[in-house]
Amino acid sequence: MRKGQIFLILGIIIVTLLISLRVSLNLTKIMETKRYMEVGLERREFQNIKDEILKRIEISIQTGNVTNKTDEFVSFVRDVMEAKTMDFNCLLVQTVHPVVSSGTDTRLNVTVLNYLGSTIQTLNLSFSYDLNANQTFSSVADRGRADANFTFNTGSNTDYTLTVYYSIGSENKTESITAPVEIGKSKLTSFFDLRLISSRGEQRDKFNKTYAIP
Amino acid sequence: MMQILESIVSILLIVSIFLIYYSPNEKLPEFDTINWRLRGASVLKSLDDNGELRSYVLANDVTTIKSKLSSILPVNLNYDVVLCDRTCSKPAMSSEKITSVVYLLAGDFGNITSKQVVLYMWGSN
Repeated sequence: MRKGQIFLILGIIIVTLLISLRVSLNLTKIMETKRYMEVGLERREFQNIKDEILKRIEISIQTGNVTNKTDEFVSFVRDVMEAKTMDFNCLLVQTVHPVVSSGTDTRLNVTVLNYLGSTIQTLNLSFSYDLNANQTFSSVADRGRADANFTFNTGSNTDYTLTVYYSIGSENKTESITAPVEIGKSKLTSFFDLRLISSRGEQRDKFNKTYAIP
Repeated sequence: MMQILESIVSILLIVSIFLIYYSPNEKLPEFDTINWRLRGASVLKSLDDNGELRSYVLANDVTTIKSKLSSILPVNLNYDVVLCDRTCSKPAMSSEKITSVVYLLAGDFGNITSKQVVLYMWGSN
């Protein structure tokens, strides 16, 4: 075998090694790992938002005016996320009633905060105590709100249901929110449908929480 | 003559494969900044869970927050903390690698104020 042929064979071996090394680097997998880490970070940001919205409600209950203070914080989150080129959209429904006395009419105040990013064309609220007393709103703007109230009269602890129907664009959605009522107590129930949208994807959570008002 | 030609062919083969597969255009993704962000987010969360961050932020006590971070963040990592409301000013710094994490706070009992804690992190040039 001549010297030149040995060079050629060595060259082919080195080339094979270079190609196999490059393939083993698997750039796609590395990119996926990075994306996974970034999504994980967004999940933490989303969790931070959720925790702080709940915290805002918790601390506002002590001073009153919970809905306005929640609205102010959600608006703050929307602006901060917008500066980070992320969209924070949410639907927030709050129901609040004073201390319930057995067999007495009690008023349930309902507020819907629209942070869904578009105008709600039709919003309908119905309350399980009296299904005929439903209330309809039209054109609730983004960052806008709708206030309604219902009356109930009960002699025992009851879980009422508030049904929220809304339409945005071609989408129609219905949310059923349980509002527990306890004799001798004043309560606030908050329903959240939170979304954090970035170029990497969407984080979403839907939940409700009831608080006893001291 | 043939030997020289074969050697040149093998060298050209290696060089061309190297240039094609290891071209500088295809950069490997950079992991430092994402790791700093994950670390920064964990540190801020744990400071808040300890009940420290919220009170320092609401008292606008950046110095104490920075000193708390100095014992947790890597020694070779430069950082700065900015506390702000809706809009934040960016501190002056120059680095090719710079990143930040934002931690939101909804206030506390007796002080209902929305605040953002921005932790800027950058490497040494």
